[in-house]
Amino acid sequence: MAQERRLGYAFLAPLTLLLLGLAVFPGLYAYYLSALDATLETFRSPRFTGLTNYVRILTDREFYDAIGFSLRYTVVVVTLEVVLGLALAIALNRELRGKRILISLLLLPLMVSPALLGIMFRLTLNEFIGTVSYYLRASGFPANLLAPPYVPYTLMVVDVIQWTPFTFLILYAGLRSIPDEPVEAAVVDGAGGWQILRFVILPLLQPLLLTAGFLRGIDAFKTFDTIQVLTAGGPGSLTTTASIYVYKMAFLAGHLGRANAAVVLLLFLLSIPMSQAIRHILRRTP
Amino acid sequence: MTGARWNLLHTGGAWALAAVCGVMFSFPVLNTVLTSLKTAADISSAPPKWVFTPTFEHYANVFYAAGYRFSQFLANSILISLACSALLVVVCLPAAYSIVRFGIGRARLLPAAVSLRLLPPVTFAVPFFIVYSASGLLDTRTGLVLVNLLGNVPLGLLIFVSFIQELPQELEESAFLDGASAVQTLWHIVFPLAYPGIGAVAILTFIWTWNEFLFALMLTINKATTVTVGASLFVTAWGVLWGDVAAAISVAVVPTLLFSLFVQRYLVRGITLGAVR
Repeated sequence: MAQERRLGYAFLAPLTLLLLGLAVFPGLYAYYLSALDATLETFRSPRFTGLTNYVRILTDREFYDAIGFSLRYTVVVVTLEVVLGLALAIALNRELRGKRILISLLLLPLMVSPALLGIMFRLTLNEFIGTVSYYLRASGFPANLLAPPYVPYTLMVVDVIQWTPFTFLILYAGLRSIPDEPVEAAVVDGAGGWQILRFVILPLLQPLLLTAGFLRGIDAFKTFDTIQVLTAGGPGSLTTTASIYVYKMAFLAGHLGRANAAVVLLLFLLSIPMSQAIRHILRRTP
Repeated sequence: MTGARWNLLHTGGAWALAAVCGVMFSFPVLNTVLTSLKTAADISSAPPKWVFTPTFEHYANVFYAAGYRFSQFLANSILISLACSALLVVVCLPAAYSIVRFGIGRARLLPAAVSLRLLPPVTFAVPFFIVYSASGLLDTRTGLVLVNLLGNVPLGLLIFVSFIQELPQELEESAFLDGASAVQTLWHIVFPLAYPGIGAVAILTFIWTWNEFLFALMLTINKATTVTVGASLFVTAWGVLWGDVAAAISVAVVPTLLFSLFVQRYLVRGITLGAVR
């Protein structure tokens, strides 16, 4: 037994060292930095400034705008992705012509880098050469969906296209694992399709709906790649998410310390949903 | 599997929904590949041409035209992703074995790995930038391998844990009774049985590392730039040349799309942190 324990610790040592060096140390350093006046020029010899950075962030209108945008974005895309993912899972939970091809097409965006998908949309929605833009203009719709007032909604649609495959995949796997008996019993009792969905299927799927919603919600709130590539948070700060705000503060404005104060505040905001999600996921992980 | 009796949608409606979404979801990729095969004149023609004589000039440009360094970006991505997936397996497989069979690390390490998956990557942006600047890791492939290891630990650890849990324990026990040491058991019994899991983790890590954008953008200048960042540089630096941009993106997505065919089975487990099998 003693030998087994020693071996166990030896097996865990590389991972523990990796996490200490690459997660714990940078994480603690992030907190420390939030109290320094570090900038891109002075980060080698920063001064301690206490809570100044926090005051600057909490009095910055753009910080609240970024959180507001991230929240609205999250609510909209998560709702659409869960509903559409569920609809697709129900649609494909049966024999269909060309089912394998349909599923492959549906899963395609999941494997494409979000940054590259963003560039693909710049091409597809380009005002002058975009194919979608051409057909929109030809049918009398506004042609430039990457300009205000449409651009926030365009970004949400891009997110829905990229991540509905994710919710679909989870819910499809869930639907296929639902046992026949409760459904058959409901059919025998004369329940209609909607009633079966509402009273049998949705309760059975609830843990997975929560998993999908939690993971997508937290990931959507921290969206960076697609929006950075498509609008870089602009025009102005119209589409600046929380992550893009931190990035702009650190690497465009050069206020490294102040950016980290924003990070600490964001972690505080995320701590409740994150701890809920961890509890929920670990309960279901063997 | 449940029958069609409770289904809300008629078969026709179900098919229409799946087909419309399938076309919509894959259209950006299709459109990009088609654009990459068009001449500049065909690209800007209105209405858009769907039937045209394909040209490979943009691919030739991307690889051979002066001023582009796309081949270097591609080499960086391949090296970084390969190194990262190999190292991740080496670090996570023994750890997962220890968690499952010895119960060591289950209480703290596993929840820590899950919470790592949920933390916003920007949390680590500035600390990594400063540490890398001070230690000479900025703009190096080693630096990107390290930061991507961190990003993929949750996925690797959780897939391995759920995978090892399903391996029959009897083989290991009888090997142990025959006098094999624990290391020999791991090497000769567990390792071969775990090949599919190792393959899935290696491929998913390769894809995720290849696709990573935030750190590749912040922690590189020009030497260690990956294709994902490199392709976005094409847009800003040579924005008018859409054919070249499209060819660059097409080359950059092909490896991940090919690899993904092998891991569809493990995709669910990987992306849901093992919450669904």
